[in-house]
Amino acid sequence: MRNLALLILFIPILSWGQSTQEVKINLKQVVDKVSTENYSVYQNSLRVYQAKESITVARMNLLPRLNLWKLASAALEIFAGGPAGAAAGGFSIVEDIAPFLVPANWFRVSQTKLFYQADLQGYKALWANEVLTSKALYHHILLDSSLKDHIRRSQVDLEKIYQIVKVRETFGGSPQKVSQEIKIRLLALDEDLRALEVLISEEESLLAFLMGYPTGTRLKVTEIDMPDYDSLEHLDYEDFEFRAVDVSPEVKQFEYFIAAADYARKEVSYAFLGASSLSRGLNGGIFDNLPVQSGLGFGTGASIRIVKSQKEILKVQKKAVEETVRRSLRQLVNNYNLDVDNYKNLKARQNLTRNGLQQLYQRIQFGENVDSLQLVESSRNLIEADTSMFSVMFRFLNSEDKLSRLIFHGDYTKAKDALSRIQEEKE
Amino acid sequence: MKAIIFLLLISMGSVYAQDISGSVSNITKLKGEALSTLGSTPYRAKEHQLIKDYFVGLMEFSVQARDNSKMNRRLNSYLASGDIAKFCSDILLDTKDWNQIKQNCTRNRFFLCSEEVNEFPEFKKTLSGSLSPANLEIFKNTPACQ
Repeated sequence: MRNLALLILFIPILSWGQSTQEVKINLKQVVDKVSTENYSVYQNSLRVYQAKESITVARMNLLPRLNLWKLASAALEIFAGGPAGAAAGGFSIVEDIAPFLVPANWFRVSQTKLFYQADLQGYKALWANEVLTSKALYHHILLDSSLKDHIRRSQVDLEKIYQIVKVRETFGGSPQKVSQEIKIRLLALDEDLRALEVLISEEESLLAFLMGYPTGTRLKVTEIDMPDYDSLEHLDYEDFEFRAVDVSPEVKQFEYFIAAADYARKEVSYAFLGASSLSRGLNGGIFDNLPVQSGLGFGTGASIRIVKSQKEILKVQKKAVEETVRRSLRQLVNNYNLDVDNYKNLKARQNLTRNGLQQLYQRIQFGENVDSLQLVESSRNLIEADTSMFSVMFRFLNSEDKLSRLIFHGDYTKAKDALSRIQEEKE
Repeated sequence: MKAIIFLLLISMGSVYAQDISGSVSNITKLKGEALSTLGSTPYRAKEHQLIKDYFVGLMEFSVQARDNSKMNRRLNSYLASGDIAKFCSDILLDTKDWNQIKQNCTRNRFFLCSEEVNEFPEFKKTLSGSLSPANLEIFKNTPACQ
């Protein structure tokens, strides 16, 4: 009873301890943790593991199997059915005693190998997408944190202007409504700040989930080295097109499916030597509905035509995926180049608005009469220019990362290591 | 009768040799096409494809030589009766050309060619792994094979 009371007492303390766990992370850790702890990635790696084991299952199933009931019924046919029964009984157990004599079984083994390769590509695509999403979240957290700091600084600046305008209004140097305008602006910034805090908290929570941390873990992201934005140059779509399509796991997955379709066709053609009961593996579902009949029948020709058209469907799907990759790349390059052009403008705009506001402050310090509305307008312009600048800077980071994902560059070359690490643990 | 069997074996051996020499001349052709891209920078889809074809051809040859026991035997007997230095210079790029291709493949700090280009040393290792001890010894000591 006393133990129970102690337990009840400690449960809230323990759960409180869990809910406030703070973890400091960097980008490298994001990639590593997503590779090994992310729920979807881990599930998918296990699927790849299953597909790999399916090859062994298919190979081993080529060896004789012991099916006592079938043996008994075949024996009955052999001994009770005369010479014809002996032959029929003998053939009926071929699939169990000598499955390697059924060509369809060999084709299934080949298909299983190809489906394993397709699964590997599927894993690579999923892993890369999860890493991309996690890194984008990391960048967003940094962007939103920068915006939050920026809003706080803007609040301090606006507060100064508010005090100046208030004094002027008291002495009749400024219309009453200006201080109200500034106050409204200050309140709006307060709202922005609160909204950003909630947004950052949501982003951190989602990133923690993607990294496999328990709910309640608070992430603290470390700053990253920003690129030298002034040295960024336009990208040329043509440079990246070949690589993006060539390395795309989504495209490669279809190549394996198409190769497997050839074996599915052979399976139908050689069905007169028996149909295979072996599983094609996890990804083999795309061929499960194809009509493979045991034995040579009048429907064989039509079955072959169906398999051929299935291959055509896969080719069309592959083409669609290739075009999607090309379209994503073109869109990315266009946006990137747009940002490169805009960056110079934004930088100039930021400098001009900062100088403008600075000059207004100086004029106030020297006792000149400055229009309060102009002061408010200048401050607002600077906030907007800074915000746009931050957004573009982080958009560059995301664009570069998307490009790396498309051409499997940088962090995205680690897919194989991530999978082998998980599979080594499994074996 | 013995003479017929002997002739049959000889002719089968020469068929195998032709099989390997066919593969070698195919890779030699692909190598020449890959080398022809050296002056055509920046690479576009056509050049990328030529480079990829060579490296994929070499990869398939090496993997088959390792995994296919018949092909392995044929290759080793082909090399035992031939010139390993010529075989290597026919099918393998020298390091200087490979580095040049890799350099041409890199733009804006991104590697833009097919991934097989980077795996060239692996293919050479696979190929050497399929050789008999005697052939391997010569392979190791031949500059064209390094």
